[in-house]
Amino acid sequence: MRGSAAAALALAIALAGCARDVCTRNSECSSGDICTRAAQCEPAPDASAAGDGGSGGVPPDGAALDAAAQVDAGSGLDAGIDAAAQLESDPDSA
Amino acid sequence: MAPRSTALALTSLLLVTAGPARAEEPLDDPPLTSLEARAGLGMAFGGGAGGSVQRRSPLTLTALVDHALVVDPWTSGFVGVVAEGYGRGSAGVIAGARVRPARGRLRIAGGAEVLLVPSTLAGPLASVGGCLPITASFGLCLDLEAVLFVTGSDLPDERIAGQAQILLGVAFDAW
Repeated sequence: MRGSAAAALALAIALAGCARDVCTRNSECSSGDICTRAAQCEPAPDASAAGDGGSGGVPPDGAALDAAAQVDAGSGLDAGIDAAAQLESDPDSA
Repeated sequence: MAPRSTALALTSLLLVTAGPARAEEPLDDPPLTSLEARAGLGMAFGGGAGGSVQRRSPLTLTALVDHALVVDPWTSGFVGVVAEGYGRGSAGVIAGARVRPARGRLRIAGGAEVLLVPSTLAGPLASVGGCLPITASFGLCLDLEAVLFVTGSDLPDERIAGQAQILLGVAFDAW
C-alpha cells in the first residue's frame, strides 16, 4: 500500500530526528533515579533518606552519617548507663 | 527536525485518509460493534519551563471495543486496554468517542488514556485516521494519535509529557 509506505517513511524520519538521550517520564530512568526538569535521569534528592528506612544505619551512599553526632549519641548512652549503675549501687544518692 | 518530521507524518496520514473520501464512493455504514488491535510507535516529548525534548516513544499495543452510539453524524464510543513496551513497561485503559464525518472512512477521535501500573499517568488524546476494508468484516486501520499526559506519578516535577504515534491496526466487525 502506497499510504502505508509513506507513513512508514514518515515514521522513520521522525524517529531519526528524536533519538536524543533525554527522559520525558520518571519510568524511563533506572530504579532510584527520577527525570529532572532538565530532562536528565538523576538520583532522587531524598533517595538516600528513603533508602535506609528502618535500618537506622548508614544511607546507601554512605556519605551522610555525621560522625560527631554518633559520638554524642554514644557518650549520652554511656552517661545514662553510668547513672543507672550508680543508682543501683547507692540508692540514697538519688 | 522534529516538527518537520511531524508535519510529514501528518501529511502522509491525510493523503491516506483523504483518498477514499475524494472518490465519493458509496460506503457501507461502519459496523455497529468492532474489535480492534493496534500497534503504535512514534515520538515522545516532554516539556516545561526548561524547554521541550523529544525521544522515541514506547511501543504501544492497544485492544479496543468500538460501539456505535449515534447515527448522524456516525459516532461511536470505544474502550480498551493499552500496554507499553520497548524500553519500558506499563499498562492502563483508554476510552473515548469517534466521529466518522459523512460515514466515510475518515474517523476523528477524542478521549483519554490512563496508565495505571506500575506508575500512573493520565491525559487527553486525539487521533485521526481511517480503516481500509480488506474483506466484508475485516479491515486494516491507520491512525495518527497524540496523547498529552498532564497528571500522574510518572511525570517529572513541573513538566508534562506526551507522545505522537502512528498506529497500525486490524479491525474486525463484530456485529
